[in-house]
Amino acid sequence: MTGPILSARGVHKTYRSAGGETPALRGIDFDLGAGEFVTVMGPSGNGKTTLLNCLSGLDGIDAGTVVIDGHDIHNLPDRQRTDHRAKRMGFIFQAFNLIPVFSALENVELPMLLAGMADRSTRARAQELLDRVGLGHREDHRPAELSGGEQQRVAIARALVSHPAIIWADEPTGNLDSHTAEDVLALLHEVHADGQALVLVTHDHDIGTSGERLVEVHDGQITYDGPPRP
Amino acid sequence: MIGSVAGRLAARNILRRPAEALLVVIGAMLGTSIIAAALVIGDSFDGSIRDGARTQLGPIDEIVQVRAGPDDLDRRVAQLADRLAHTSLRHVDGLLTARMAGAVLSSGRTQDTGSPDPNTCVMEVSPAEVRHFGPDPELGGFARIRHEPAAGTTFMGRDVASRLGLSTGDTVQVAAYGSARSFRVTRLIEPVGVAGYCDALVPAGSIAELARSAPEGRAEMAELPLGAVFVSNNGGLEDSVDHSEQVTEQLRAVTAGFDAEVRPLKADLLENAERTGGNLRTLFSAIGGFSVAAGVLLLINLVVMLAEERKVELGVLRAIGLRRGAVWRSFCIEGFIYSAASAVLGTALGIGVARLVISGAGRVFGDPDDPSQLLVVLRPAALAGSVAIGFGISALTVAATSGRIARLNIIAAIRDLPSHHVVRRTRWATLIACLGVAVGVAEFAIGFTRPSPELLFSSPPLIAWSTASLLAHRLPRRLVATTGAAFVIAWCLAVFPLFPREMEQPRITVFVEMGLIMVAAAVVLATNLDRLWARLIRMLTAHGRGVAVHLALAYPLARRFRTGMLLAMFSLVIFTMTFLGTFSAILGDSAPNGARDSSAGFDLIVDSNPSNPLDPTDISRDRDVAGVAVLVRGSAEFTNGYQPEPTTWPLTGFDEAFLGHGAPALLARDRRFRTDRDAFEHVLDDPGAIIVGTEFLQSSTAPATEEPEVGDRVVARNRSGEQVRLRVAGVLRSDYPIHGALVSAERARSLLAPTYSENRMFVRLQAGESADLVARRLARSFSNNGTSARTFLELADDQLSRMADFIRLMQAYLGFGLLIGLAGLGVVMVRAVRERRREIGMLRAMGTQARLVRQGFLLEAVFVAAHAVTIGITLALLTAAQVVVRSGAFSNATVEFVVPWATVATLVVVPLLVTMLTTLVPARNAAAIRPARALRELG
Ligand SMILES: Nc1ncnc2c1ncn2[C@@H]1O[C@H](COP(=O)(O)OP(=O)(O)O)[C@@H](O)[C@H]1O
Ligand SMILES: [Mg+2]
Repeated sequence: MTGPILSARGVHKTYRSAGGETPALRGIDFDLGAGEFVTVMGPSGNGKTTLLNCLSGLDGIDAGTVVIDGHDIHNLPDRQRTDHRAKRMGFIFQAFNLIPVFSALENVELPMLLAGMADRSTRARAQELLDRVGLGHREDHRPAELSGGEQQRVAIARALVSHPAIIWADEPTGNLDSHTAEDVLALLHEVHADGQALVLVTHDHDIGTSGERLVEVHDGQITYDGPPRP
Repeated sequence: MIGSVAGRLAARNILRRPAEALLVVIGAMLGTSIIAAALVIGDSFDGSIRDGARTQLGPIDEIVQVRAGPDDLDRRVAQLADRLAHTSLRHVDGLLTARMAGAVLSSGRTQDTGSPDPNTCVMEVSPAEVRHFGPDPELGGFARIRHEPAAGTTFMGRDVASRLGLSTGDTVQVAAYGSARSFRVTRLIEPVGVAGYCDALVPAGSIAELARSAPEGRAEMAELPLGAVFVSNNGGLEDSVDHSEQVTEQLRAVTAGFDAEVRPLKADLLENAERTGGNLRTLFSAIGGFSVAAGVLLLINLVVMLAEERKVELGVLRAIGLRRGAVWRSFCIEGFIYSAASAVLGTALGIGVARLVISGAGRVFGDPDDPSQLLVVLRPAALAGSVAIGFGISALTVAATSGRIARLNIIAAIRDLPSHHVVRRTRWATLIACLGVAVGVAEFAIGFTRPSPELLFSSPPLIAWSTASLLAHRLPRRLVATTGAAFVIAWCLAVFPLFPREMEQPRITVFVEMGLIMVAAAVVLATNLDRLWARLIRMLTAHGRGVAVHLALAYPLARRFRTGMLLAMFSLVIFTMTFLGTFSAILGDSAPNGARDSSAGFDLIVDSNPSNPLDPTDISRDRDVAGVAVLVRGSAEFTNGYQPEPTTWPLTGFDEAFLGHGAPALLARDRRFRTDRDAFEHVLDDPGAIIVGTEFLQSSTAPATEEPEVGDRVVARNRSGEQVRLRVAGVLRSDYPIHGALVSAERARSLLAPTYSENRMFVRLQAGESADLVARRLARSFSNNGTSARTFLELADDQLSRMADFIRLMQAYLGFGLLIGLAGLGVVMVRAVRERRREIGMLRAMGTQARLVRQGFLLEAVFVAAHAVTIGITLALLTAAQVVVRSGAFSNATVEFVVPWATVATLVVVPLLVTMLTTLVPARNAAAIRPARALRELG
């Protein structure tokens, strides 16, 4: 196996606000191999989202390094970091965060446009992904016209469309009923089967143990990193 | 108290976002300020002119005047006064005799004084009599003047003295009837009441002496001295005019055999004040109406945005049992509070705007030496009215918009669905639409038969709109909307050519109507072109470009209602600015044509004081002069086919010399004449022929409905009541010299005697002389005659530039409306950034460069602004072209349509630039949104 595609060392993050300082990450060391399926678990408010944001470069950090594809992303200028995200990462959130004024198809297409990958096949590729998440027949619908589960499936299609190396998913089933959540999870497993790395944050025990590797976060620190425990 | 939940909700919402509340107040305020400004401007003009009652008349209500030579003057006045004194006149509390004459006042110092005031006059009156004239010696202005000026001295009005640079002890030259006398100024008097009627008080007998010493032959050319009996009615300064009609009638009856003229001076002045004030009020309100409409649209937008933001929470409140009525009430209460605040603040701002306009107008209309002529008049009633109207408009807008919002679908709201107004076809709506069609058809019929341009013009749009709303549910919406809108625009452009007779002489209201309707239709059209844009964007993005464009246009194209409102608001403002800009460009452009049309081949128009006119032989002897034509001028009473009321109108007589170098251009002439000149030749030969200006006998109070035509019968009456029948042989193309109507010199003298003057001449220069230089030299050499010499271009420019200046003033006033448009767009963009924080966060997470987010916002604003600029400018140019071709808006000038390129360029560049600048801040804020942060925020 080649080296990790992401390697974080000594990551610290403290939120500063009018209310005072909240240390959210306190010395995180973490490696992610290509095609790995990692679930991140821990009680609410213990820093899971912060971890995801800081490792993906969405948020800045106070100390430490995060190296992805050989770049210390927190030392990159915003422009390049953004570019890197467009080309190498996909995001799925609890709130689906689709762009309301675009149709399902346009939402899925968007990352390819942003990554500068637009060409004649763009639309076909977006359609293919919508088909894959089972929404081929809803491509012209706006997000508000779709159910929560459907919206999340569009969001997944959107995260996958530009073949990112890492997909970050922050409680993607948090807003869904258990049945729909299962569908979404099945989809994510398929993704993983395609060879893309997946970091899935959840507080659901069943989901947390469904991956290949489990990371537990408590109070801003990784307290367990290993195979899922039953 | 108010329904407690609604009230509490409203209060909370205001307090929760004070900055937002302030924005709404400011949005609503701008419209009110436009209204307030229009009212204050009207009142101020009214008040300023009205102030003339105090400064120029005081106790004087009517004048009974006779013209007579120096030997007859005293006798005639005495007879008249005697007759009046021995008649019991009802409602009259005083009589005052005076003698007056036009005269040129000068300091005697050699200097270039510019063009002299042709209306200066001197007066002889007894101060003791003035003090007993009327109810209050203060009113007459002579309360502190005990005796007449001593021989060789004069009491001078303070205003004239300061204009001439004179003070007590100085000597003033008084020139009249070809001779001049020096008077020492011994006292400066306040120009108030009788003291303000003329410019200087001279010792008794001075006028007769001046007239007697006139050189041989000169007195006949001059206007004769005036003997007058002033009449004061019962009552105070202004209410005395209540009796004016009765008193005037009595005076006319009593003085029937005296060849005297009776004029209700104060009533005329006050009527003029009211009319001018009213006209300006209407004009500014009509033009300001566009800005008010823009303000209303802005307010709708703001309320909709507020509601959008609160949609989820409102949905939840509705779900847990808050009644629809309560939602509506809470919005209304909140809106009414904003409306009240904005009405008061807007009125205050409006006063400021009016002040600016009035000080600008003072420069346009006023005496450059005396900028204080226009007063700012604040009538409590007008201010209260403005507050009430402002509040009414805002409150109504808020109530109506909230009514629509309160109908929100609970589920749609909670799930934050876009409110797809799937309006159910209620029986009411169908009924209203059918009614609309019926009313429209009826309007059309009435408009066509009467004919009324307003009705005729507005009916097809009404029919189209009603039909569209009937069809909208049976046919594809987009198709119905675009067809309807296209039809309405086509109608606006075609109505004048299609109905030339019915649409003749449209009023300004027709063009206001036209502008509003066309802009509305264009906006409907534009917002329904989203498919087209979507296709264009597809083409762009297919080639891997234009992500920013894609992002930028997605929102305005998806939120059609909002975009439509924004577009309409902005377009309206650009429309009016362009419209007015076109007018001033047309005016500026038409001066050379007007000058050529009126000059009859002459180079200069030379005027002098009617009491001391220039001797034409003096002028023709000048080395630079090749020819002179003297005109006989005065005014007579006329009636014609469309003006049955005897109307006083200027009349000018000309002789062969006038046709020595050509003839003025005619708009129309009798078919018998091959050339314009032939028509004038005919008038010289035929005492029954007359040539008139295009405005002939049109009353200044009512809009022109009929124009003079060749062949019209005209009846003129001379002083002794004899009637003369005349026939129109031609209509002037332009009448910048204000001839009024032209007849042969003999005909003019016989009609006007004894009150005409020959104080104007057209002068032809030797080839190669600079007209401007000669004009200045003549004015200087003959300053004793109050000579003003101008080129025809100057004459036309002078009149046009006043109008153009005034239009520019209106443009400035409307610039305020532009501010509404730009501020509105800015506010909407600020709000948009806040609304879309999460989406922007997601876009950034997905790898959208900050630069792209910024560009997207800028582009979005520019997209809307560019749309509005395109719509506004295009429609305004089309409408203005119609006005120029179709309306009598420029009646005493013949004009051609020109595109005001400078204005157009400004109106493209400035709004786009300002839009970019105002959007820069929100766009930066949007680009600076940190994804991790924004994504945590809940919707
Ligand atoms: N912007 C912020 N300012 C201050 N504190 C924050 C902010 N965002 C998150 N926190 C705090 O950081 C801690 C970790 O939050 P988070 O990473 O969201 O936890 P989790 O995702 O595990 O629920 C929490 O205590 C939270 O209150
Ligand atoms: Mg979390």
